[in-house]
Amino acid sequence: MSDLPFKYRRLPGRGLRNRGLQFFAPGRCSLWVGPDHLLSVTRIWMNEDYKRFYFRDIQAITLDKNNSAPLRNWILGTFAFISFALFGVIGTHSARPWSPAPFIAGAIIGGVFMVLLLVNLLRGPTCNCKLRTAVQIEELPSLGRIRVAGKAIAILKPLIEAVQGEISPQDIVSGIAQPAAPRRTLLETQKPFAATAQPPPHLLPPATGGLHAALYAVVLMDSAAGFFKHLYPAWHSYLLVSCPLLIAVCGLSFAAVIRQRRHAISKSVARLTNGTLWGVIAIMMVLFVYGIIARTLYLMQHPGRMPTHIDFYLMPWFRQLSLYTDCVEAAVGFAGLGLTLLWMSGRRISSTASAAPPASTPPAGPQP
Amino acid sequence: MLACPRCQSPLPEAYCNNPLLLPCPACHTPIRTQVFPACFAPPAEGKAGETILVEGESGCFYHPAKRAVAACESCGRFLCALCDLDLNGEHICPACLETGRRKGKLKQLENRRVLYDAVALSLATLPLLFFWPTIITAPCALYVVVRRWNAPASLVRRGKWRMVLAAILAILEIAAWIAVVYFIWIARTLIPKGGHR
Repeated sequence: MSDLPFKYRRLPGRGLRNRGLQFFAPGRCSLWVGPDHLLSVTRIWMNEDYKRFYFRDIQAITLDKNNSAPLRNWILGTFAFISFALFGVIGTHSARPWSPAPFIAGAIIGGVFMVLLLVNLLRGPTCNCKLRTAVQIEELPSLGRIRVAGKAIAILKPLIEAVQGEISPQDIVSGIAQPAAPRRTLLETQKPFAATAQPPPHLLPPATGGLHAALYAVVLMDSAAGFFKHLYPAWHSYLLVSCPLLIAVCGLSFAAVIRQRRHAISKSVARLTNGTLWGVIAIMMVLFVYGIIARTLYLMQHPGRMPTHIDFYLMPWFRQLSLYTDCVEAAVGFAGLGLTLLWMSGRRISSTASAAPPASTPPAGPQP
Repeated sequence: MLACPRCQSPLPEAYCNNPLLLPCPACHTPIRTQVFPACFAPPAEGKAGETILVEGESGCFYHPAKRAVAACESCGRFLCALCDLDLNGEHICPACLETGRRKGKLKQLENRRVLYDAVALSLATLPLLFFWPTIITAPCALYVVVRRWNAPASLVRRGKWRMVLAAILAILEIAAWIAVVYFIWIARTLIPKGGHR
């Protein structure tokens, strides 16, 4: 059965390696310990990519704390609050006679976000963990939590020291004091991941941000159309407006994701765009499933009649769900547009600063 | 030289092997650095082949003017110090290394595997969501199971339970389709056209 003479032992932690269009199926990373090396496994679809780091070659393991955990807490907390507040307001004002259904729906949706928030809090702060050898610096996404990374280092340290020997404080002092050998810079040593030969983000040309701005503008328009429909339920041409807008959001988010793969843009905008595309896909799937269920129910209630003119907005559940998605869309639209405009203004300032000649240098050409 | 992983500014020795997260002196990001002796070891120098001075000495297969220092453990060719590649204690020539990497004979250099067990299981399970695609995917899953039964699985996860499960599901789906076709055929045969029996 086994084609190897030894067994790998798994290190704690798992993470995602998300690059460009791989957000549909990001590489799932894990670390395994072999007899003389550390194996980094990245599973993408039905493939597994391997990278071996021999214990004799590992120079350092570094952690730097990042703000990913607090950001997730804020996002999940906001969604939980919106869910509780929105369904609470709907339940208090709209249902005649009084019904517990909106409160239950709000508790379920908000509860999911609260559970995710609690899990995120319990897992602790996040970090970027990197492993350094003489020829590369490799990020280890599976060690994305400080606690997990600490456990992994505690396991790896004796194994590496068994091969390389222990390092004393005097060695560190003398090693730092000695003049550094001509070593390649970080930029040169950071190799792209073998599976996707893509240059690192700082080597990509900067994106203009126009496509992202257009995407979030359309998201806001779609959200506004949804709010308008809630205010004026008799607006029958709503579908004629919302369907093209939803398709436009889908197309623009897909194009924006491709654009940000080939051009540099701020990390927050890139993440929000990935999330937007996921959200649009989820909304379309929900609409598809909901449409099938609604038509089936209609056929069961009205046998022999074709369900061609179902107004989904007459169904209270759909109305509440769409109000919820409209709120989320508005939040995403405003956040995305704000972040993109910030990126565009920052880019404009930096480009004018680099284009302008230094104040002390006299102009090269003759003055008119 | 030790540097902050975030801002690349140099770090003093107090930051090395400290189990606590200390703020970087330049960017104030909390960092932890675990270093090992290889960090301060000088880079290994490459060896050049020695020229043959005494007549009758064995020469390298690739550089006949250079003295042979080892024989390739794969093909047996004599190798000079330049061509002698150390692969975890084994002496390999560049040609054997390349062939081994390409054909997957050298397990130490294998960097990708296709998980056929996962392919088969996906073919057998995912189309069940809509059922009708299983008329195509169930035979495909069965084919993958039969054709790739002996293909190497993941380096780290062992066992063939995915293959077995995929085979069982595929057989059940095929049986279900045969039953559906049989009942439709029976219904068409027993009920005459234009009315009930």
